[in-house]
Amino acid sequence: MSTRRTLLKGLGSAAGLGALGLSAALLPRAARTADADFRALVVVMLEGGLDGHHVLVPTDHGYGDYLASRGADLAVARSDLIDLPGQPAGRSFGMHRRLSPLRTLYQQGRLGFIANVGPLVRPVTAAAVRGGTAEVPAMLFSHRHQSGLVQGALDLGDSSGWGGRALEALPPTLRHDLAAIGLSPTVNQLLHGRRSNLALGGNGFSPWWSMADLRSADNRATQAYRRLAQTQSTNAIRGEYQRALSAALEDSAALTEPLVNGSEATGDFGNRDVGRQLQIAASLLPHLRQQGRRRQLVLASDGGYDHHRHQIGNLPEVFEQLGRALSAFDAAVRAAGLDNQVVTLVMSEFGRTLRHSGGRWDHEAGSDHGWGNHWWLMGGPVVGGTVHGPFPSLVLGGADDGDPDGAGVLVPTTSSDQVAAALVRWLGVHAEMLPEVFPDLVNFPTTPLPLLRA
Amino acid sequence: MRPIGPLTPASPSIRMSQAPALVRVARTRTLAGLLAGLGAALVLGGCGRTGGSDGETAVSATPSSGQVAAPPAVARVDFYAASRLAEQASFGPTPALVAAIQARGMAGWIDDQLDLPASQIDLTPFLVDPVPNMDWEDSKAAFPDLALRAPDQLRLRVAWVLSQWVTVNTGDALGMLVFQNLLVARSLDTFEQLLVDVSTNAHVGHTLDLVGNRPRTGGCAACAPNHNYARVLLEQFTLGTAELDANGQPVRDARGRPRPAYSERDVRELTRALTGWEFRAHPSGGQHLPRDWGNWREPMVASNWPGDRDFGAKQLLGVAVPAYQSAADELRQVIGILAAHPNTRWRLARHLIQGLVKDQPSPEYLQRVVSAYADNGKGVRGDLRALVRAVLLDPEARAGDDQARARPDDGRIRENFLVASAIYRAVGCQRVPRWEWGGPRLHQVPFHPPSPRGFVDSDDRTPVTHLNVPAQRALNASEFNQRSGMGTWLVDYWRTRPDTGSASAAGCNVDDMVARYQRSTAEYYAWLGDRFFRGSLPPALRQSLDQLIRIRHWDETVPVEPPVRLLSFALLWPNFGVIE
Repeated sequence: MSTRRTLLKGLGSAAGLGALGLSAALLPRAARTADADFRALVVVMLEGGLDGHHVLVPTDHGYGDYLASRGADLAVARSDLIDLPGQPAGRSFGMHRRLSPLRTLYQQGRLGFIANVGPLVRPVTAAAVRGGTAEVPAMLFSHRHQSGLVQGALDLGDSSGWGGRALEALPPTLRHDLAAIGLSPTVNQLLHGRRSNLALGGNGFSPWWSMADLRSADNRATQAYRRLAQTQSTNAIRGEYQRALSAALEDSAALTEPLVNGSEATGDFGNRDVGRQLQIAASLLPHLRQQGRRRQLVLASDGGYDHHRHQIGNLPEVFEQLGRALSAFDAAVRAAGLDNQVVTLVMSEFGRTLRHSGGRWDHEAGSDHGWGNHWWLMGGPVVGGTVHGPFPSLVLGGADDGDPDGAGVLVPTTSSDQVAAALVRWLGVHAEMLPEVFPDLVNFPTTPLPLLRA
Repeated sequence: MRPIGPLTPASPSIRMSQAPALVRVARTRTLAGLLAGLGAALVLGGCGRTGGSDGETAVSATPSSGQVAAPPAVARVDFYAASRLAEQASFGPTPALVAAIQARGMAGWIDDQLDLPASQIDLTPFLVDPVPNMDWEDSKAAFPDLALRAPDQLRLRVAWVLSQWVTVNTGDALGMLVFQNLLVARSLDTFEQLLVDVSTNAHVGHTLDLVGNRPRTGGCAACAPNHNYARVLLEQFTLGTAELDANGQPVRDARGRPRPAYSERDVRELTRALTGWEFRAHPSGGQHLPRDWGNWREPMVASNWPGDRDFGAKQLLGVAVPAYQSAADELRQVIGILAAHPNTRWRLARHLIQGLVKDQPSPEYLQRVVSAYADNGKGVRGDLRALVRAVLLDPEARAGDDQARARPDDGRIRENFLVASAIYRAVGCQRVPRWEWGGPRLHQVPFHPPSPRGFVDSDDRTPVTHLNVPAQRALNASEFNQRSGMGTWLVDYWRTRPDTGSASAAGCNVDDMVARYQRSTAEYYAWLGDRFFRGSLPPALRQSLDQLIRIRHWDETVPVEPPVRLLSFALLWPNFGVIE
């Protein structure tokens, strides 16, 4: 069976050594030099359904629609919005003031929004969705399924995501075994390919396993663990366990060095787990470039966005910590000299209804599961300081509302596949390979979205 | 007030609980229960094993007679098979438990277990004001503590499996523990009764927004439908998202895409049907602990303000729900519709099999358990007791009792909590040891998943091989790193706090293990084999342990360190990581 371990295993056995800890040294000479051609895509998944209407709000005539649709109990007060500079497509916007570090990045042109993104099979109108005649993805509004859809799930029995498939579609010179790194404890489908697995997983890894330092291939305790991982089994479930154990050993040996040698990225990453994940990412990326690896995909996540209630009370503190984590990550990446080599996408499985959902009291207002949402991109290569794509009408039952009851369910005008396709093309996937990664992309205009500088 | 178990046969009609039914039950156990729970060393005289792989398992359907005398008709179960059932149906084998299964036979032991009254978490320490500092951590430890020592192991094991189906958000510790007690108490009732009681539980009503789910009415700005609970009920607790066919496989449309099991209209209609619930008011005077503002120990009641309720007729999954029913009647009706839907039985059957026996059941095994859901033999649908019996006593579940007959698809990945509980039970801990800061020494805490959707996704497929092995995704570098040190947690406590250490405070006793190691390696290996490997160590593991003993990468001056380091290593071995 082909796995992403093939390269390392082959090199390791050819040298008569366990590959542990020596993988960098065993890479081809051309790859060993710190290549300027290094690109990393970091995806931050906000789980639960981030309410984009709490992040990016029109401050022109659109604010009246917004306020009317949401009601005073759910709308972000005008005084809680900080104005964004410029007037993309003639519109004015503000963002939640607790995300203020991101406003700085927006102002610097390092952060750009993409309005009303979501999974689509083909372009559809809200009227067709309301009328039940539109072809739309199956099982929308379910956390699990829509999370799968924005990560590139193709079918119930297919565990691959667009990121893993894209890495498999890269030209051979850009591929390597440790390209997909999972730091989220809860999501990872995006990283899985059809033939390959992800590296690490979770954010509690280390090179020290009880008695063994896995970086040292001649440590006898390490050898005992490696023998353990190599025991053979005819049982399918034990086979899965073995594969996972073997991969965990190799990954922990090859990737954890910067987390324990004092070269960890510093900064105020906030107090949420996503901050720790981004700190690890900021520490690993320079190390991976140093090892001569040329493409990386990292998945991090944050939870707690499913606010059916108490949204106004609870989201601001979450935003505060998220803003810190993202801006600290951006600063760390720049400090490592990777300014033009790292792009971060922040996404969520769905947006939320404009209209509030029930709570016991007025101040408890929240929102229900929606569809289209505002995502954002961050980093040096990003065409920032703007809002990409048409900004939707925020009128209940209006031009962009796909809900027959007029609850304000935005029908996306930009497909999540279109956004992801622009990013994987930046990573180096050729246009003719895109249908492998995004089968539905053929239903959309072929021009890539202008999200990144060439 | 309805008593909790010993359970009567489930009634064919759905019962609606009128009262919380969550009083702490005095543990009046039958003698058979004593035998089942505590093992029967006194009757059995040790746990000899038959040695070979030819163990004959008893699958007698005779219910427990309640008599202590070992039934002569029951063929003796060998040590391997008894340990295997203990891994499937408890939180880890102990000598007494294995002996009890050997003595009673498999069906007898299972029936004894099913007859035991439900253990309940003692709520007394949580009925205080102000809330103590350790309240939250103590509440996290409550269910695991019960799991380590309670006699009704099978019921609690089923509750652990169901807690990953009926996933509920966290909230006030008291409310959460009341919910946990409810789940334990109803885990062998009918599935409909379980869902009715879950749906009226105050903690559920609060955290999944049933309270506050109201029709839009003029003059009440806050009044609005809240889809959260209706969606969770459809997607997680019953149907799932994809429509399943007569073989439990997803139905596909002409383009090959899975067909949804329900529509958004169904979500809206169910939301309407679930309007009108409110926390029960505290008794007259309204005096209550501040934390008990939701009156957590009492089920919710129908609100008597008409604006809280949508009285109109509804249509759920093609079934008419008449207008002007009471909230309770309508709840019973809609739960009945969901529980009767074929999707529910297929999903629940798979979930129970995967939680107890194997990740990859054959279609025939699934079908047999689905049939048990449809009818428990007495015309009752969704009898969880009958389901559990069907899952554990199915020929496919028992095939692996004889290693020569084991199937290549047998087994399930042992989740982190069951790794920890097996260690703690093996050294006799009476409760879960605590971390320095007071929390339970666990990395997977029941009822506290990292995502509201649970610890694993039951539909998940493995990368590359595309097998439905839900726990496989959890096996990443962080998880293995943590597992590699699990036994070592005990060491640190012995070393740093020999007298007051939390492990000894929790009643753990590693003296026996240490003494065996000091007497001889062979004796230590025998202990390891009996406790964790169904009687004997795999030869390759024995070789690796021999090598580790030669290199001695540990502090020899701490007597407990070598055996626990070796234990940590051994428990990464696939024969333990997978309950095969």
